[in-house]
Amino acid sequence: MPGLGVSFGRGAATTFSRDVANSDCITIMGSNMAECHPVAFRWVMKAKEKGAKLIHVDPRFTRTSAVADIHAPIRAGSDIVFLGGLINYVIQNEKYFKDYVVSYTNAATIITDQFKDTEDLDGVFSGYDQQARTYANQTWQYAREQPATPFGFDEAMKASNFTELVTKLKPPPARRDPTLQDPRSVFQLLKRHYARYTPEMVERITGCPKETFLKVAETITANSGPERTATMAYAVAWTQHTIGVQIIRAAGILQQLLGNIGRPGGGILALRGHATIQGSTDNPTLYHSITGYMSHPDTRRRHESLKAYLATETVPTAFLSNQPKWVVSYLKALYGDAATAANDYGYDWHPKIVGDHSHMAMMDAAYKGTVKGMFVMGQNPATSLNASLQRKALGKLEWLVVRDFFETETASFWYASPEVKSGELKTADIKTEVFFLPAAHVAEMEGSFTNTHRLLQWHEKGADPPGDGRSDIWFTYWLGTRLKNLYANSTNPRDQGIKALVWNYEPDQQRNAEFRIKDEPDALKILKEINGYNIADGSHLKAFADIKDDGSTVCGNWIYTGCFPAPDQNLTASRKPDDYVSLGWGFNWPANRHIMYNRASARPDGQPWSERKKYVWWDGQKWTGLDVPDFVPTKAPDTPSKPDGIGLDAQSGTDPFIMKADGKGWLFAPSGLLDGPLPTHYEPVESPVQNLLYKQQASPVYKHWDSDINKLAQVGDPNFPYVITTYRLTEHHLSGTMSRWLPWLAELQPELFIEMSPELAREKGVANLDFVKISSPRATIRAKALVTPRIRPFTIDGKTVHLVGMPWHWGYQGLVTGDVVNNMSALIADPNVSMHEGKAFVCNVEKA
Amino acid sequence: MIPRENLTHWDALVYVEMFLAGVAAGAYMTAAILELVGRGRSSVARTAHLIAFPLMLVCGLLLTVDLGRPERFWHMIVQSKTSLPMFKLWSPMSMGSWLVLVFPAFAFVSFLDALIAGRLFRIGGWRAESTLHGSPAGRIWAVIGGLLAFAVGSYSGILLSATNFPGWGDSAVLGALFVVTAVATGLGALLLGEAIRGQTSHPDIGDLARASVMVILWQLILIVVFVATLGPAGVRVFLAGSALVAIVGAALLGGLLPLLLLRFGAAAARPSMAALAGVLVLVGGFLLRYAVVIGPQQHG
Amino acid sequence: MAAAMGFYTDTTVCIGCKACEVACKEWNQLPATNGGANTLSGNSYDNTRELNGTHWRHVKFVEQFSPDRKQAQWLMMSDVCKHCVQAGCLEVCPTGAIIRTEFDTVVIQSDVCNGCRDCIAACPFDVIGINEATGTAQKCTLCYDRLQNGLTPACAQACPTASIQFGPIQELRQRADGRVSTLKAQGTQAYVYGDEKMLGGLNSFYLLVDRPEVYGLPPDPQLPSRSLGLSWLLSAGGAVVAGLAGALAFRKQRMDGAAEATTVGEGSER
Ligand SMILES: Nc1nc2c(c(=O)[nH]1)N[C@H]1C(S)=C(S)[C@@H](COP(=O)(O)OP(=O)(O)OC[C@H]3O[C@@H](n4cnc5c(=O)[nH]c(N)nc54)[C@H](O)[C@@H]3O)O[C@H]1N2
Ligand SMILES: Nc1nc2c(c(=O)[nH]1)N[C@H]1C(S)=C(S)[C@@H](COP(=O)(O)OP(=O)(O)OC[C@H]3O[C@@H](n4cnc5c(=O)[nH]c(N)nc54)[C@H](O)[C@@H]3O)O[C@H]1N2
Ligand code: SF4
Ligand code: SF4
Ligand code: SF4
Ligand code: SF4
Ligand code: SF4
Ligand SMILES: [Mo]
Repeated sequence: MPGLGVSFGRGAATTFSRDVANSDCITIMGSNMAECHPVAFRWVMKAKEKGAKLIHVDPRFTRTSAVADIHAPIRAGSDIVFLGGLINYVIQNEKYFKDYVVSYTNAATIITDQFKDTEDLDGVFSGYDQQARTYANQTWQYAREQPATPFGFDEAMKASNFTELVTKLKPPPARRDPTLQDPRSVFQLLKRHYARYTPEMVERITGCPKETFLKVAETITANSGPERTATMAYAVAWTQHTIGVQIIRAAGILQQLLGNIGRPGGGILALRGHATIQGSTDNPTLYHSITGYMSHPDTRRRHESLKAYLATETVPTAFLSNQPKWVVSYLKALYGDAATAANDYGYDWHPKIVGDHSHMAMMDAAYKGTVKGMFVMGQNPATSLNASLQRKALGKLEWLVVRDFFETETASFWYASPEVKSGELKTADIKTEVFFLPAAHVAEMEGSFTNTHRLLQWHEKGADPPGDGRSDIWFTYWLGTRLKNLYANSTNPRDQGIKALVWNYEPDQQRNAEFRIKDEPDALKILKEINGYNIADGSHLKAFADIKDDGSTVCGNWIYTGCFPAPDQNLTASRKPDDYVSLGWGFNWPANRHIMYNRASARPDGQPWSERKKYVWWDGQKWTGLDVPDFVPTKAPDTPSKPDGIGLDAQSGTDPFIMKADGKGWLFAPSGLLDGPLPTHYEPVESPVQNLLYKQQASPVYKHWDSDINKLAQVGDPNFPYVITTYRLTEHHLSGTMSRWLPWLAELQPELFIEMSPELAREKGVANLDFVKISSPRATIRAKALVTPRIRPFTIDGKTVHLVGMPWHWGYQGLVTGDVVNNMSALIADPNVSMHEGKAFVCNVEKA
Repeated sequence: MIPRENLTHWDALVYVEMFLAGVAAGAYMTAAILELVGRGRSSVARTAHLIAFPLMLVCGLLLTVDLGRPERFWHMIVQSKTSLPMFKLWSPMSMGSWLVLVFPAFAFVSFLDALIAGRLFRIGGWRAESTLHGSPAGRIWAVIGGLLAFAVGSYSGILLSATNFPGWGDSAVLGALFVVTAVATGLGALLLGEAIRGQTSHPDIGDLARASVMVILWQLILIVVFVATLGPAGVRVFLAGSALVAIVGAALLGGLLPLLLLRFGAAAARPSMAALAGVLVLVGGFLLRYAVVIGPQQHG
Repeated sequence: MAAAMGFYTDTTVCIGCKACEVACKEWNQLPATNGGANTLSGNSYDNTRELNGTHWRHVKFVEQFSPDRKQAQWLMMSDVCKHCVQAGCLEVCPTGAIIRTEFDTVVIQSDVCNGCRDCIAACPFDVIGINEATGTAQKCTLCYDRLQNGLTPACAQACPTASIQFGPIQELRQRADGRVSTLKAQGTQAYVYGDEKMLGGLNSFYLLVDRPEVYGLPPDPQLPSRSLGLSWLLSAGGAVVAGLAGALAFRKQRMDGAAEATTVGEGSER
């Protein structure tokens, strides 16, 4: 999640769910938390019971709005205007937390003179290449002092060891103006960038009444400051936009201005989706990173050798200066004894990416015939974005393996899909060989879950899966074993990697003793590798400091180090609750720190900002408090940065954001993002309205996988006059495999529906429960109308714009079935993370 | 009282039972009155005794079949877990269960008595000349049996009003209405019975007709009182569908029409007229039971 | 008897997630409507529609919006048997199937009930229905089996926001009163539905913010026996009038017909 990573250093929720109970004001925006995160929502209700204010900003009136103090309706896709409006309100009315902003953020930092804002270039930043539709970020950089010695990639490549390499990367200090008056200071740039995001503009673009917006602004600011804290929670209604990362950035800016990061009851709670989706980005199944959010070796970047990779990726003046240790230990985890200093620890064997291999890119490639085979484990792409394209793509594969509990839409696409039903495709013509394998359910295997706030919790295996059902670990392990056997005698250099691959998660007879399945691999061995151990004696690593760059340690994922510090201490399995932080419950990466950047919960001098909000503070000797300090434990507040120091030595005792190169929170992002240093409002790619702020209509750099069946609507296309948004219901889970097959859940929401306002229903002559046809440039589907005043028409720049909403949980398999909503959506994406725009596109609605 | 989603599903079995039990009870009560005015041995009284018991047997059967678990019918009389008697004075259903057990016992004796009076057989000294009814002991029997019959005629109405079901629970007059329609239908059945037996010139028919006229009038008054005491919400449930038709039918067919026939149609003189009046009263009584039982349940 | 146990349901923190409904069905192994293949009701997010013999918990949704959306409220309430201290169902049950337990809860014993359905009509809250599978009347047991084993009822256990709170009634009543004052101080009109004045107290009571009718609850629930005496009295009166009419008719004949006595009289009764 670069939205948070770029702002604060780590791409994850800055706080933990339970801490929300201490908040004085909770803004849920871009999420329907009550419906999608009902268990964590308990803490929202606890806070509310204590008198906290709850704000919900959502196009629809949902079950979250129902318990909120304020519901602010906005048109889908207009979040940056609303957030920008709040930023502008805070700056114009001088409601920002001055001491915090000056000391802990990059507000005072000066940006180069070459930088041009969207205000100057009518909607794009300097560095834009119109042909390539990309940005170069050289002009977005900090203005720095003259370097005393040369530094950078070329210098680093000359180094003879990793420490030297990092040192050679260190730039001279950036220029600052603590008065915030310099017109090139981040603060002044920010002020100017958002000056036109006035309450009136917010009303014109978002459709949210000005009074409601102001009430939100007043409530949030009144609950921020030394004595009070406000938190924000979001989920995929911020991410699922072509500007999703920038929306999250905007929230990051607001929370920094209000001094809410790193403090109890504050922060930004990224509500993650799938079970252990956090774990799957930490470890990751992401194509563009290896473990612990390190970049994936990439042929398109200076990654030609381990040294080049490190010279490109290492941040010399932050905790990230330790990256050589993490990468070397990671390579040792992969290739074991075969990884030596002499062969760059097997770096050359490591796969390199050659382009965008994200889900949509891959399916587009499959549709175009480039991809031959596919494993689908824990996914149901036949119901995913532009589902009909994805199903056709599946039909072009040579083979497809699906591992699931039920015969999903994906496993059955070749005979049950709408294309086959309609005769457009014939089963006989689909050559894909489909293997459907039964998967074990979570209760039928052991392992760890990483929840929305980075908490690792171990779960035991409760029972064997029935019949041939096997866990994903079992499948992957035995598949890997067979592949290794297959290549065992190969002398082909390109096969050396798989031959060297360490694959030592052998079943443990004792641990499998009570179960029927005796060849289940040992998940604890995997956890041990992830945590890391010393190669010499096998002893487990206890902390980050134990990870070495000399090949003496193995560490599968540095951010998890410490979760399994000794063979008899699996902290992820520990269950010692207390009534707040609960340090003894599971393991919260990093290093069991629950609120990240918690150095900021104290003033620059180390004392709490207020008694009411004390959390972590300097006791004269060390940092102490309710949580594990996210700071060097003995580094006094008055420690200056060392001019020639690297890593955290380059930062002072008042720099709380230890993962950032300057130790500051980033209001302005000189690097890390492909679509600009400051969040800017662009309309969704498909929108019925013109961008009222800039000439640039949509993101200048969004991704589009063009093909005959992935066409887009023009702005204001009269054939598709309505905004449509898609979302979840509490009663179902995602594509419905885990809910539509279960009678008790199926009966709760049995049929697909479209939520529409009584106003639109009247216009269209549609009565409640009538069938309607909904169409987009990609497809037309049917659903029953649920006419409800919870949906309202918006007045955008004086004109009525109707919004409709559809939950997308249905498909053609299961106890209850319905049309696939994603037949209508498009393969377009944000440039940073390739996230689709399922939250805002256009459609038409007619009575069926 | 709130509108209902859960219906009792007291349907045909129940309103037929309530109707038949009403006829039986009404007839028996008529016989008891006859006994008290000294005509215990009259043909009418015997007819009443001949029909009451068999009808009650049918009723017992209908009620049992109507249960969700018929094999557990006895749980209403004996506590299944302790084997102690199961009786709740304050539960009309419990009371009714006992009544449906005890009243037929009395009716059975009267039934035998009527058969004996008809010289079909005799049991020892119990024979046509020395029947129970018409004797002083018969009076006592009639009083007890008549009271039980009264209870049988009333309880189903009271059971319905002792609920929180809109339309039933709204009025305390339902028991009165039920017992009076029981008497009316009892009289109707006797009119029909006597007419079939061809006792044209028998003055009893005239008496039955006169009694019927008064009871039907009383019944009409009670229908009005019932509706008046329902309140708007209660009334609404009866003002729709087949219940509305049935109520109107009950008032017209079972009330006004027989009233005209009996008062001005010289029913006493012509058996066909008497029979017709009897049938109409019975149909009316049936429609009323139907309307009362179904009306409140018909929205589901 | 142990302390009276029950539910305090704070509807202001209910998020309509229906976890309670599902937990109840799972624990009690109750079937889903039509095996899950239910239909959309069109009434907000409520598709299970009612409490009955197979839905012992039911979450209600009430949408209250003015045309301009200035007034915008979506009320949710998880409904269940009220475990009335004076319980209408228990009062009428002719088999003794319905009992009051040691926890002061009201339970239908499935093995005793014979499906007469009187309790369905007697309950002021429309709680009970017939479970087709068993042919008997069923409703919430307040998880009698769990209580006997020291467990919290399944629904309360599952409720993520503590809208459903389980505990000793006295304690719950205090908590509810406290919550009402807090809400009032925050400007929300709230009140407790089901205090001791209502049917002796509902052992499953509610904190509501609108009139009972809005939630489909009776404002003034009564026992079925409320007019039992009057009913019998009126019934007796009705019968007496009818009886007198009969007596009058039959007596009159006796005098009128004295003359005919010889010709017909006893003789006709051969
Ligand atoms: N019950 C249940 N829980 C779930 C899931 C599930 O399927 N079912 N899925 C899990 C997963 S994978 C995820 S990712 C999370 C997702 O959690 P959420 O993001 O909370 O879920 P959504 O329902 O997709 O979207 C939330 C809300 O966004 C609103 N919305 C739509 N467009 C916009 C917009 O442009 N701006 C703003 N501010 N709001 C908008 C919608 O009206 C909707 O109410 O939930 C997780 N939890
Ligand atoms: N229009 C629109 N589209 C969306 C979204 C939206 O809001 N709007 N949301 C998006 C989001 S946030 C998400 S996360 C995706 C989700 O989209 P998918 O991941 O494609 O959908 P799921 O239904 O979650 O598929 C998960 C499958 O994994 C199976 N499964 C569960 N556990 C296991 C296991 O342990 N092993 C194996 N092998 N299988 C298992 C389940 O049965 C299920 O079939 O959808 C995206 N699509
Ligand atoms: S489904 Fe699981 S992750 Fe989601 S709210 Fe419930 S308990 Fe939490
Ligand atoms: S609510 Fe109804 S079912 Fe529950 S105890 Fe009270 S009367 Fe009985
Ligand atoms: S249906 Fe069962 S529980 Fe209800 S009153 Fe009849 S016997 Fe009692
Ligand atoms: S107490 Fe038990 S039986 Fe009653 S609703 Fe809750 S889970 Fe169901
Ligand atoms: S589980 Fe709790 S919050 Fe969810 S619907 Fe039931 S009572 Fe409401
Ligand atoms: Mo997700």
